Amino acid sequence: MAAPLELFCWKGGWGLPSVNTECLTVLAYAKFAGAPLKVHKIANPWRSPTGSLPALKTPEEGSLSQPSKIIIQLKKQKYNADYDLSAKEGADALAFISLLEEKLLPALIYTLWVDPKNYVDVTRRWHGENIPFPLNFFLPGRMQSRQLDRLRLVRGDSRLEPGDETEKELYRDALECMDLLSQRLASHKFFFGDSPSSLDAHVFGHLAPLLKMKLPNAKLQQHLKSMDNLSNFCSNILTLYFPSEGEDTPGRKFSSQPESSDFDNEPHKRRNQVLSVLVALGAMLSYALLTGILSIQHVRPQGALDSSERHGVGAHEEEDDD
Amino acid sequence: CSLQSECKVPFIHVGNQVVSELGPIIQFTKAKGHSLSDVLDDVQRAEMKAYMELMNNMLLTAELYIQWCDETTAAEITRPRYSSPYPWPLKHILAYQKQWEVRRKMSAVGWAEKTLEQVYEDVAQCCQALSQRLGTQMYFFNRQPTELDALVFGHLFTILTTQLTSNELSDKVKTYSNLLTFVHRIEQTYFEDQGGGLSS
Repeated sequence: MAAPLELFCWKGGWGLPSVNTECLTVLAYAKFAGAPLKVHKIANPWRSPTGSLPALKTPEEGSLSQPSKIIIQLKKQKYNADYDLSAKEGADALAFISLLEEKLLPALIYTLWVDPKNYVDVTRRWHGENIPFPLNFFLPGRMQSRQLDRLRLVRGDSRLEPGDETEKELYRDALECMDLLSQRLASHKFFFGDSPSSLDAHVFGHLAPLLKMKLPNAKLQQHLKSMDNLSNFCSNILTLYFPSEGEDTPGRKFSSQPESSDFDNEPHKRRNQVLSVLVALGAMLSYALLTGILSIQHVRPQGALDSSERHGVGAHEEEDDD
Repeated sequence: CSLQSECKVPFIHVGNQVVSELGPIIQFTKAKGHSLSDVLDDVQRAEMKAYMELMNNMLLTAELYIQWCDETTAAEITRPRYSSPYPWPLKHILAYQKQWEVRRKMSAVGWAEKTLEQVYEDVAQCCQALSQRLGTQMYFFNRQPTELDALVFGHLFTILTTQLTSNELSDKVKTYSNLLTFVHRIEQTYFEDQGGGLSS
């Protein structure tokens, strides 16, 4: 292993190492497998080599952005968290990952991106505050419409709209999925034996955001919190594998938030000031160009033409004079 | 189709109720007191549901991909088959519309940039998982068939008996002898009198 692998993912919030399910999954897997990654936590998907997050930059195979591909790539580099699984356990892991993707993910997308209250109060707000300046005006909206599109296509219903009917259907599947996971996990620490596997990473990625985010519409959250083994499973992984984020408990978060946000906002403020001055200057200049100085710009070529014409005419006149 | 609110098959018609697709039909028969998975314990039921989603997530998506996104299969088999009931101008419009829809779905689930080889790999991975899970048992959960057995049989039997432009898909399934025996056993036990199929 010569060059280190670089992983780009969404930055953290709410005491999570990342706010995005796919990024969380990959981060957790890398921790479980002990892969030494250089992690860039950013809030601007345009800075990622693939244009989306998460993305893994490898020296040999370019950049990968799908979590499943990233995990396969890590496995190829001998960072395999599923090494100890028997063939049958490997099959079970694959099956439960499918269960998560089919049953829980649509509801998760719905609750974060489609549910109007959650989207406006939490998702859009977080992205608006964290994505750098000009992008934060349109990127959250674009991400939302992409997620809604995806939900429609996956559900095979092109007229799917946010509403009670859709919500009920999606949440029913999600609650069932959580029940099944809880039954499968029972009182174990991880899904297979004593060490975490790729399934644990996926479950963590899907459940931890639900557990930690402060959502106004919290039906899924309440159900998850009522299942002790699943919520303990998530907090266990947080404290064991992400100790720096795990310390950030809600109680402390409030006290530390103003300081950190002030500190974070300082460069933004400066940049915004510079930008507003630039915008004002630009407006003044363009106004000036459109009214007074406009003529100057056009005079030059015209002046050149005029002078040549005048010269020409002058020559004619001279000829005439002769 | 006029019976149904949503035009989906298969459906059952009981009194003035119409129930369509596998999930709701299983729910419905369960409400009427017929359930195949009552004998399972909680963990087994969770596993059964998980494997059913594995079928939907991987095998069903792979089948859709091969039918609509592999241009040879789409041109020679899928579009003619899909458009056969409709009159001339409509048949082409509907077939291409459907193809476009499936391709958008593939890009939504991140399968758009997969090659045909990668999709066959996924099919192999899925069959491998099923084969491991089945082992030497009669059915996926001991001696009693469950919903999962029905779903797996439906998919594998179709794959094995449908002639496509290449045999690669059915060859992938045929690598796993226990899955083959499983499909044969269900066919012989439950569909003996229908004829046709694999044994003929």
